[in-house]
Amino acid sequence: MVFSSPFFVYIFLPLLLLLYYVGKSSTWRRGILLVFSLFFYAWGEPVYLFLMLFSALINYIFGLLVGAGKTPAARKAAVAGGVILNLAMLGVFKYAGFAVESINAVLGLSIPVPAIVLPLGISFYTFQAMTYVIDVYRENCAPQKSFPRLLLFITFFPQLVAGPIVRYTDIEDQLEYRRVSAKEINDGLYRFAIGMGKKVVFANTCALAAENLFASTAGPTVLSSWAGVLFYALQVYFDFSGYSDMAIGLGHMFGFTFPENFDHPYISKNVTEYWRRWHMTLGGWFRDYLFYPVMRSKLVTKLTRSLKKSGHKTAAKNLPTIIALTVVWFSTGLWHGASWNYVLWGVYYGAWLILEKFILDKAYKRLPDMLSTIIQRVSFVFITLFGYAIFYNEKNLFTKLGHYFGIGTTGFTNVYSESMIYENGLLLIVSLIACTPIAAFIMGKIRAKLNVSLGEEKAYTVDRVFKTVVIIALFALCTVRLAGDSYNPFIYFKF
Amino acid sequence: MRNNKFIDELVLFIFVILLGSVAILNLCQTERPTVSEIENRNLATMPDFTWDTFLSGKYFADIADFVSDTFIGRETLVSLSKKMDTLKSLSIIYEREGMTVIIDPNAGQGEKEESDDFSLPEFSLPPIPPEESDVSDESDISGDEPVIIPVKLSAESATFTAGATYLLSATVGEGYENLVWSVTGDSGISIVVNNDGSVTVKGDSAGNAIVTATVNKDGEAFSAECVITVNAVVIAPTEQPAEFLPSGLIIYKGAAYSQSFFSATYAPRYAAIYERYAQMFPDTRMNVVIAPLATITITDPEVSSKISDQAAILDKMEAEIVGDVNFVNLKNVYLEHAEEYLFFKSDHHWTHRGAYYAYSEFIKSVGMTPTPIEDFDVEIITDKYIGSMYGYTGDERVKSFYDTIEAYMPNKELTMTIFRNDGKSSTHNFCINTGIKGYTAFISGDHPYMVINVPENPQDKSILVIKDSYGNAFVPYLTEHYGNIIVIDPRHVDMNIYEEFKDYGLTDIVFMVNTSSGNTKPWYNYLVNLID
Repeated sequence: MVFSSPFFVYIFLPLLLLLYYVGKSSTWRRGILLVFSLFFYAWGEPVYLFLMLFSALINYIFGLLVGAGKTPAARKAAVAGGVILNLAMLGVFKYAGFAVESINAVLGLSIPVPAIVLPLGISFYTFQAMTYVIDVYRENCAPQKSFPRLLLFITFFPQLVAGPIVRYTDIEDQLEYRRVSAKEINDGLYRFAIGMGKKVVFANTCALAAENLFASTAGPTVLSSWAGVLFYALQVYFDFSGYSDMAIGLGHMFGFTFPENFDHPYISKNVTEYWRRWHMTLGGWFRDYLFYPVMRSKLVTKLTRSLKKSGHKTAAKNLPTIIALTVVWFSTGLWHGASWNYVLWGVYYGAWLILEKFILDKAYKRLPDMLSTIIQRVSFVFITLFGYAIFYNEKNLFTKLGHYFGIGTTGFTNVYSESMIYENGLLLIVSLIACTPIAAFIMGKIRAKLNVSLGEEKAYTVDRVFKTVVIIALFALCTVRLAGDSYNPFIYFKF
Repeated sequence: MRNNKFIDELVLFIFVILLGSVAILNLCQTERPTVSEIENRNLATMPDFTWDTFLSGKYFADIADFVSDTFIGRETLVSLSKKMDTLKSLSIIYEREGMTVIIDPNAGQGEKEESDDFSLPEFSLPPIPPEESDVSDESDISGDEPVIIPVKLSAESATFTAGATYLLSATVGEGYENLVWSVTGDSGISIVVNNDGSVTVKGDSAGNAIVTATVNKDGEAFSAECVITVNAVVIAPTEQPAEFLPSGLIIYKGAAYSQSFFSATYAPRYAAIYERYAQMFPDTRMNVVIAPLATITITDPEVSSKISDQAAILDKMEAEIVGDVNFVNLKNVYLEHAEEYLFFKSDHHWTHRGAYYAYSEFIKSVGMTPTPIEDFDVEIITDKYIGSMYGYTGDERVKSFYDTIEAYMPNKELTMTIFRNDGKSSTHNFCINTGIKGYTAFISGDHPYMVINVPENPQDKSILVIKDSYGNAFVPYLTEHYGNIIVIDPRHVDMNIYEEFKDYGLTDIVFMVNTSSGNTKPWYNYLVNLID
């Protein structure tokens, strides 16, 4: 089921809201959420529902085992078991085919490639489940004794399919008690409406523009390649951040507060800033559950010590970071898809991050501010767009990348490329503006002024009425677009 | 903040009422629509439950489609949505000179090329009775004197692409001498005489010419000719297979144009099936008339060089023809009359005037004389026609390209009988229905099967027309010559025409479609199904 569809908005959601709020007990409410979440998942993948239930059960058992472990060794064994089982499931269902293909290619064998259908959301729910077992081990939370509560955490439909990656510790308390009032529901509806607007109005139309430019009528040109990837970059942002907005909004409607996932990433000055604004929950996950463990691992600490002893002080200081970053970014790339272009994309960003941290930052400090800013911002645009080119092309990657430099194109531009850009010109301008926080900035200023002139209560009323008008308008607008638009792709769905 | 709580509850209440009303209205629809007028397709229906579809998730996906498709007020929403699409473009800020390309929003969802082996269906023709041997075979005269041919060329005709050369040689009979070569025709074709007496024909640009070799004996001259055709160099877009998508729709000088592409995969298959038709109906002439799309009338080389070249498509299709098939190449007549109102501005069809030239070329090619266009009475059906291009694109600019539908009314009395698939039929004494204010006026649109009878014309002169919607405007002109015109639209009919017509004694069969239909898989399959 897709959030931005008439079925979800006009059947699933109203029914859920009705049934949730009709009962008062927290057991009823948790039960309703659980039933609807399982139904939501079954709607998309009836067969793999059992796999997800199985995963929840495993994590439940291992959580209890860690909690029950009397010795550090026992606890460590339990968490290791839990993590290994989670990764094994992910490995088999997501990467088995890819692994066999790669082995065949490298060793020249012909092992039959297993064709396993990727279960919906497995990358997300597996990572979420792992936060539970690991945080029990780290004593950041107590093991959850109630299976339904843990099951709800793992299967809760808003963030199940495409994030944000919610950690168990984020909502541990909310499983028990949630604060719900009309205000919370209104805030949730507003966030949901914004997300739906981003998806339906911006992402879908940018997607069509990107597809038309990439289809390269009369041959690819340099301009059609760069313009295509620009629209693709916009599509991914509005699609993914819109989905996160809808997820956060939905959670809010039922009293949950989920972590933020995007903070206007395209206004970033450089790659380092970008990854603090883009898919923040994933970055945080890799930082806390892979980066730091690698940095503190025995292997790395041994290496650091031996380097210090042999007098390589800077290497000793920097090498652990570089190693950890390489491991993290290789994994980040791999997490995004079972194909080498994703790994390359991850390594690409890892390389830029390392470059910025150890060389570029210092180099830019030597330049005058204005120049440094211009160079950084312009290069950031090209680095990001080229990164998307790597991300987009699973097949014929190097041929396609050549197009960006005029290799294999029929020229710099042609009438089709120019027409396509012209035909989507206003969309492009408005989308670029919508990537910036300018709307929120203006609204904030107005709200401040109103607070002063009208007083807080009246200002709040104006704000609330305005937001409700926006919600209704966005729902209406999106309904028009969804009814009239059979083109409703959802990229992150394959995670 | 008591007021705050109140306002929150109030706006929430209002929103819930609105959302709930739409939800309830949707669920309580008693009659759900089944067809979308604006999108020209059938709408999804409530799926049946099967374990297969349930386990694969298809059952639920189909339900979601059903809810989407039967959403209350959907037709209005779809038309609103299409209007909004115009907002994407910079055309709101400034109008762009020259050609604008808009992409058909349904493009990109077509079929992919299949590289399957193809073979025509199994078919056994009745054995062709051996012909009575005729005496008029020049090379087998039982005379005393062996006949010597003064000069014989290595080929009687040659076709090649501009920029290439062609080697032509002559065999001079004994006793003949003084071989002289000459060429007459388009200036882009020239000859260079080689040392060994042969000649290299050079085609610098497209055109036609005749190369003549002349020899002498006893003061008398004898010659032989070779007809040279040089084709234009093909521009890249035309090389793409017909399934190359998305195809750009073009707006240029107040008209909308669609494009089509030559299919190197399907052209030989079409040629093979045309030949098969010719074999199956040995006493009937097999004709192929392919209408170009409107872009053939774009004369500005700045624009025409950037889009698919319809003239080149026709030439390439003609080059594939094998066997006893009459391919009527409409390229020249359309290039000649490009300034006239041959195609609609807001519809992908040709006008009745446009269809006239196809009719006249076809009739000439089968040895008859077409009725001059001035000899028809003209009726103006409407001057406010907005056609299919608006429906395809939803682009508001197209909505301002009003078209006038002129109909050249048949001169002779006729009856048109339309047969429906349920066996019912209706008979009319017109074949252009001036009451319909659209392209559908021509033979009242697409029908599975219909027969036009013209009592004034010889009743044994009959023609079977296999057509797409372009054929609708073409058919009325045939009433000038044929006594019986049978019209089949293979998309709607389920008939084996070999069984139906093998003993009928058809004079002509004509396959009358446009370059888009004539290069794509579905129409090839239709032709196969008609004889399978």
